[in-house]
Amino acid sequence: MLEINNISHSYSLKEILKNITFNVDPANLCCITGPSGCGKTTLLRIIAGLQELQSGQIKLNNITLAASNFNCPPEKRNIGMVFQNPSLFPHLNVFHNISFGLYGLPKDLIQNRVNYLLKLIGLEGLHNRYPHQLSGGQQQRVSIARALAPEPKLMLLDEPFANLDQSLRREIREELLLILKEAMIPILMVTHDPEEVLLTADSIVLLSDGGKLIQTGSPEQVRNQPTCLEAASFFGPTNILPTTIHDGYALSAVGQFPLKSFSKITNTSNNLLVIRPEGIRPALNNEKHVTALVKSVHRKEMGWLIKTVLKDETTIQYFQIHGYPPKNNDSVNLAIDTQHIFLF
Amino acid sequence: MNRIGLSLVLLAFAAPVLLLSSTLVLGQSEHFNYFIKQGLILEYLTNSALVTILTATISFLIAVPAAWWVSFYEFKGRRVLEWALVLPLAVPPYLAAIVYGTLLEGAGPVQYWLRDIFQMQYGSYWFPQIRSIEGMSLILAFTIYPYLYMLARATFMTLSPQILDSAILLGINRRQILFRLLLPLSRPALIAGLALIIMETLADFGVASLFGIPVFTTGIYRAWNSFYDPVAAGRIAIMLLTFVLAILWIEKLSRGQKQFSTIHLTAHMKHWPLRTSMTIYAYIHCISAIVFGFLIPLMALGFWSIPNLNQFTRSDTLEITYMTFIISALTSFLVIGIGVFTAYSLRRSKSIFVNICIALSSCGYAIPGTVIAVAVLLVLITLQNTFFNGALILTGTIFGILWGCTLRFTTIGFNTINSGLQQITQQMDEIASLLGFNPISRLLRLHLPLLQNSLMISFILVFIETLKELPATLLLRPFDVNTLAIKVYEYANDEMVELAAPMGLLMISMSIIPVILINSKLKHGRFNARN
Repeated sequence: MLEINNISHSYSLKEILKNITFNVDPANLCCITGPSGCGKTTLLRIIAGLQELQSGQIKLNNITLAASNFNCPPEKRNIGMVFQNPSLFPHLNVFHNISFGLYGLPKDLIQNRVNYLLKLIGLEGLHNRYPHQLSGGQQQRVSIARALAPEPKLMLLDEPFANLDQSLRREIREELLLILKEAMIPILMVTHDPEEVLLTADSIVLLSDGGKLIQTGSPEQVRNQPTCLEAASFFGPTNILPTTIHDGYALSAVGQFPLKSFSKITNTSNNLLVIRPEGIRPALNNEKHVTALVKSVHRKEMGWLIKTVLKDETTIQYFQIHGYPPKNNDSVNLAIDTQHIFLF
Repeated sequence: MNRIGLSLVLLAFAAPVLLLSSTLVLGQSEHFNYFIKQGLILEYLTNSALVTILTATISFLIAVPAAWWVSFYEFKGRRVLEWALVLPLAVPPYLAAIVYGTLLEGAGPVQYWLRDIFQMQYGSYWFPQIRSIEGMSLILAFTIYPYLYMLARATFMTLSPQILDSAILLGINRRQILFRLLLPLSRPALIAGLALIIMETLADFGVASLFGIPVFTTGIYRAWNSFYDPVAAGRIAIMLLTFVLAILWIEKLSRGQKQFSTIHLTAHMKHWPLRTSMTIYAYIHCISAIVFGFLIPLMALGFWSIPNLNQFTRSDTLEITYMTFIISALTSFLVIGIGVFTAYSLRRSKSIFVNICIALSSCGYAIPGTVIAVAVLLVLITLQNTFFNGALILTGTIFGILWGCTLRFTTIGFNTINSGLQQITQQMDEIASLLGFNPISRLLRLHLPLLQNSLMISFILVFIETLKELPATLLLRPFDVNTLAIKVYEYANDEMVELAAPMGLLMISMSIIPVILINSKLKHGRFNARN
């Protein structure tokens, strides 16, 4: 198990990471995510030992890797890391790239290990190729095999799929994450892609600008019970409406909602209402609704994202999945699903 | 440790230049006024300028069309011409000067043959004078045009086929592609190539001296060697240096703020077919460049060597060859040492101190050999006078030659090693360390194999340059030390061409063989398998 305790880091007085604490279990994929510049990559590099830990503690399988007065050098940590750029060694062929970290082992052992990994990544027979003779996806597979070869105790992935094109990305991502999970070690992946997080992560570490830890938990937890506005808006566009609390009700431009209908009320100022677009739908007959004017319709992978304005100029966007979308300037009646509303 | 090393590098490069500059204000010169009064300085200036303009123009006319044909057209023998056009680089200009000076002079074989055929008397007909500014420019242009050719060809190659295709689809014909697309796009490279040609021309001492044409470099040599006047030599050297720096500055200025992105070749260029009439013209053009720049000098030297074959085995020839080898090899090692040290310093920190060191060490190549020689001599003599009571502790050894040549060629080493080092990205280093490699094993298992090529290439480049370097070695050598370049020059100066020829042949073969070796290694080795 990987344990991160209270890591803080700053560059020349500017705080990059602030009191970060979380754990990752073996065979679990944990996604570190957040806006660009939030210190995701720095955190990963500190765990790898490529950057010195300033304060806090890193433990892997109950062994301290780094603490405020102790830093194990990266070459002694036994951690595998894969970067966005495959960075294969250009002077070595696939076989020697993968076996690079197995230096000093008996020959037949190396041979077996490399053959096993080549089979795992589906590149058998390509062991004699040089990096420039491989496609981008193949290069990234080799770099993962290279990182796996010395049987690391922890795997770090720094946006490893960002350089691949869309269709290839999905295919390789699924395939490789499965391979990695079979190694039964904790996996930590940095990504800024919410879809990637939703599809792959077992747990999430969500950072904000300035390196503060916003929320940890499973993707479902973060999605269904966001603890703050940033967490709520991480997974996609949201409607943010000003609100006032009156008599146990939250009042807003789209209606009033009983406070007890919110799953969890955080102790913030309670003056913003966040509604996910998927929580708004065309109203059924006789259902309570607000009327809005359609401004634009955007086709999405499944259905449409429709942007509208209310009478008081508040803009509201919602998802429609079935049927035909409305046209611009149509008037629509919208009903709101309370389970997608959050109060902050 | 790092700082001390950098300070030493800085000192080695800055001290000569500082001492050279000090001759402007300090020191008494008895003969500098002579140079001014006799109008010599003005003569140097006009001659140097004329030779520079002529050489640059002729080189451009040879190199750019040749690069255009071999890069974009397909015709029989294109591949051979492509590399053969570089061959004249193996012939130092002063060797070509010896050959053409002897062939074309009044008593030479060409005029003799013409008189024989047309039954004329010497002096009764017009024949161009080879020992002239025009002759000097032609010889320089035919031997150094490959610098421009290589740069032009390299830029033409980086042009993406898509750009050419879109230009053709826009209805542009090939001539327009050359003038409206290629030349403007490759302007920075062409100007850089021309600047290199100009620098080589201004640095030339051998041709000018053998042909008796007064230019800056011969002036410096005269002030030092005939008048023994270091201050006068220093002042003329500063003038030449100013001239060179002005050219460099113009080159920088012409690049301006414009960004010329180099596009990497994705697919291989398809070569267009060339019209028959143009093919004939291209053949004549390219082949005459190779014939005049390489074959005629080589064959003439070979022909003159035949009666003197025993010279190759004489002990003094062997001794001189050995000395040349030692000096060139030691310089190469020094340059590589400094190159590796500064390149790694730059990798570790981009501080101003490191950058100053690199900027200073990289102007060496622009500074003519004569200027460097005078600057180094000034330092050595000052040191000797201050610490050793004027005893020839320093000027009596090859230390001066090594220092001077190292100053001049460090740029080559640094650039080659630095570009090699840049292929080893920071990330590769990090990956290797995560795979369990400590700094020393990273150096041995990752850096050394990847740098091997760059180290070899810079060794050979510096070796060849030092081998050919004439003025710096001529001025800096102790009395009893001879190199092939010096000996060739001395024999030629004494009109003993038949003795100079075998040495010249030795020089050419010593510079060609390593190139062929490295070329075949690069071609067959797996290292060309780079992304």
